[in-house]
Amino acid sequence: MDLFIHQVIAGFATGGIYACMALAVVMIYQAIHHLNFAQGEMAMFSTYLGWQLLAWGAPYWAVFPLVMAISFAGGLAIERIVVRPIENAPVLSHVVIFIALFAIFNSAAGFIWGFTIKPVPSPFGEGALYPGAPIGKHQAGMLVVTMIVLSLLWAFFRFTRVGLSMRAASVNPESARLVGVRVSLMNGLGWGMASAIGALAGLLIAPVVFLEPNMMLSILLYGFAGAVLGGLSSPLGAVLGGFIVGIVENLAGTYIPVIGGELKLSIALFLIVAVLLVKPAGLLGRRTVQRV
Amino acid sequence: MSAILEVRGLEASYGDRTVLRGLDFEVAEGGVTALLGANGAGKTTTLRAICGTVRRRGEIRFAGKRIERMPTESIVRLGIAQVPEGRGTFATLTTEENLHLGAMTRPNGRDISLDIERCYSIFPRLKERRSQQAGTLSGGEQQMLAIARALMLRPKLMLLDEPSFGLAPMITKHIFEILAEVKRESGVSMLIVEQNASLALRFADQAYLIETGSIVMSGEAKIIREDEGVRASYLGY
Amino acid sequence: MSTSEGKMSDLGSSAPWPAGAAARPKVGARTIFFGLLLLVAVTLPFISKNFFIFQTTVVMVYAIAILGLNLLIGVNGQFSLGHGAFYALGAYTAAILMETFGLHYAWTLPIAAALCFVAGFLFGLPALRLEGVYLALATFALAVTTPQLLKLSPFEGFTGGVQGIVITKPGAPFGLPLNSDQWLYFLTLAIGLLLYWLVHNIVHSRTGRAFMAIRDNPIAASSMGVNTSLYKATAFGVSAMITGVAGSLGAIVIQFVAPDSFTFALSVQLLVGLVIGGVGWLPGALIGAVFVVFIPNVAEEISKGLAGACYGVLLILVIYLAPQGADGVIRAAVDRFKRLL
Repeated sequence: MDLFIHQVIAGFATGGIYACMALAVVMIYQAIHHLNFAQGEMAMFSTYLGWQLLAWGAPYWAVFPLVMAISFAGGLAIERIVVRPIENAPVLSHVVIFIALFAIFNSAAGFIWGFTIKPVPSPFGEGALYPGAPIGKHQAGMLVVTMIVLSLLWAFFRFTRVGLSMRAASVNPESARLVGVRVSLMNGLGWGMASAIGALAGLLIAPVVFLEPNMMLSILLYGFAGAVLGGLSSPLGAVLGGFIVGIVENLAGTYIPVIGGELKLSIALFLIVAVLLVKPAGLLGRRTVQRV
Repeated sequence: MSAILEVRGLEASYGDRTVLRGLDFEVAEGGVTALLGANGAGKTTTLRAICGTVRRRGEIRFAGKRIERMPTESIVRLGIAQVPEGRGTFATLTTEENLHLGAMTRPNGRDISLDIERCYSIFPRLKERRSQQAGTLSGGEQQMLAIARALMLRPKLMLLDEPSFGLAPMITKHIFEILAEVKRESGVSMLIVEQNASLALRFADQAYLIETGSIVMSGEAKIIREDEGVRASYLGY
Repeated sequence: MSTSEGKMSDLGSSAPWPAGAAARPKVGARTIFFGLLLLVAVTLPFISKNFFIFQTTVVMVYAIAILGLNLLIGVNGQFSLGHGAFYALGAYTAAILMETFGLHYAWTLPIAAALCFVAGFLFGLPALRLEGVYLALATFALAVTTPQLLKLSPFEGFTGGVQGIVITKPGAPFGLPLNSDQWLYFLTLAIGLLLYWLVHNIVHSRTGRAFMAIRDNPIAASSMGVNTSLYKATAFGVSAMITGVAGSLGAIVIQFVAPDSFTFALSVQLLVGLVIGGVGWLPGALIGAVFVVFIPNVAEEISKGLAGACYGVLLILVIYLAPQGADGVIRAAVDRFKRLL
């Protein structure tokens, strides 16, 4: 039983990261109605920027907001330069653009910083939270930061005019234009915010998984899984989905011995597909009925 | 009366299909102009062209200012509110959030909440549904919401696209009574597109008849209502 | 998700398949063009080096795999990010049958085809409930799991684990005066033409019309009496079968299978090839295959260290210039040509 609780709590801690990633996925999905495969690589690149700044001696707590700001600008720029010109192209062409971005970021990071793994220090310190605690200081800190960011985001979307405009632009772009919302600017903002959140997730998880160009791939997959599990139309669902995925992943890795660590990801994904078969729009998602 | 909206030689097309072939019409300051015509005549396209959601050519003047090259968002900022075809509901947002969006181009302030209260007093049904998802409202309620959302802009000109579409006669009647009241109170000018010609002609001062993208008849609404041809083909009596 | 459904049907209508009707008057020109292409294809192995023959064979293998994917995505409107899994299934079936059971390679192809059809059909059944991004995730899960399953220790006896299986290269039968590269080239070409003919006929049959009706408007299709579930699962099965045959051929041609050749990247390559060729346009598969086989080499020529980035930039440029893939470009070119005349 102790093992069980321990694993659930540990899963909760990694789940926070997945929740962050899932949220970033949902935000871009809301803005453009596609899943961005390059999201993880963008986050990885941001994390390298953070590592570089730290290596140059910048203090950790200055690096955090700075990297998020740079990532925000970067996301906005990608939307303007790469995505906007093909706005009206078919979905699959967008998917190919994401694949291209994936290749670019992955290869550029490897070229600039090399493929050897780099340790990233934790701002919260090493070791267990208290002697005998199931989670470490870093995991606890990570969880707290994630929660704070998530509540800020929730408040942003719920209570600010920009947040409302972004939601409106995503629900009904044409109607949003007719009330004077600058829809294309909102899409750009969505990209910017999503890449800033991705950067945060990357910086938080880097001390746990070590920094290397491929570090975000599986995290992004868990993020996707969380987002889809919770329902792509619901930011809250995405967060919940992220936590569930984290816990399921940990429990599967612990209790299904033959399969062990290697197949953790597959097991998690298949569980999610199983859930989707029962609830095709995700746990908190809304299925919009289509008229013929 | 001077014209708040003047349109000269308006053309519009979807891809290489021309829908409007040189329309001339105006809306008087504080007046109501109706655009009538059958399905596919180009009425909705005309409203879209004014708001810039479709490619257009020609001259559009709003309060003396040329707007035919402006993007939609800037046109809205000048005070043109559209009640779009299909009502344009933000389905997953609440009724109240929908109303807030109507005032998005106005500076944030207390008068916005006052205006929301005013909308609720005009449409008490919306107040009952204020925190409900707008997509779950009935057709009539969504039409009310669309009108209320347009009013939140404090518009100088309202463009109404088939406010009677898909509604029961009772509700249509109610909505037109409210529109008349709004016009009396705030003096907003209106350009209304309707298939229900007899309803529109009773409500409007001026009317234009569109057939396949051209204006075939124009004049005062009450004169058009008496016209034999119009009567036979549009009013059905 | 109505939006994703909407997008999926956009995808269909943006690549209006039935070009046949519009293009019928110039069937002459078309036949001449494909005839010439075939002539070039037949003479090519006698005038070029073995390595180039090998590369061209690989291109054809990819073209077949993309053709299978096109039937599912382009014609039936179901999304798959996991076709690499069926390719892998075909490849491993061929490899295991040949090396462990000593079966003649010619027999492995129909067996792999049958197995992949069944696998695709069975996967297609639960996938029926999923649409758009959800189907993407499910197929994606399949793609991610494939290499891990292939590495599993209980199956190591068959799959060779991480090391994979080395396959002996078959020579030409009946004493034909061909070396084995040339022979495999012709074998692939023949099977490719056969499968192309098969898919072409499916698309123009009742079944094909049902596939497209489901793509364009599933609700209307089912209300017209189309058994949506059966057709969707069948489309999945046939699509998996074609991609699986490509996998078998690929294994025989490359003479080697290993789990790491069948990662998610393979599924991505197939998808890129599909989009570059033109979604819903069958001959596009060949153009897409040329792109995914040769462009990475081009990118490497430009810069060794930044090959991935160069590839990405090239991809973006291609999508800018041809958002609809080769299909759109060729259509526009043909239109302009006609206008000139």
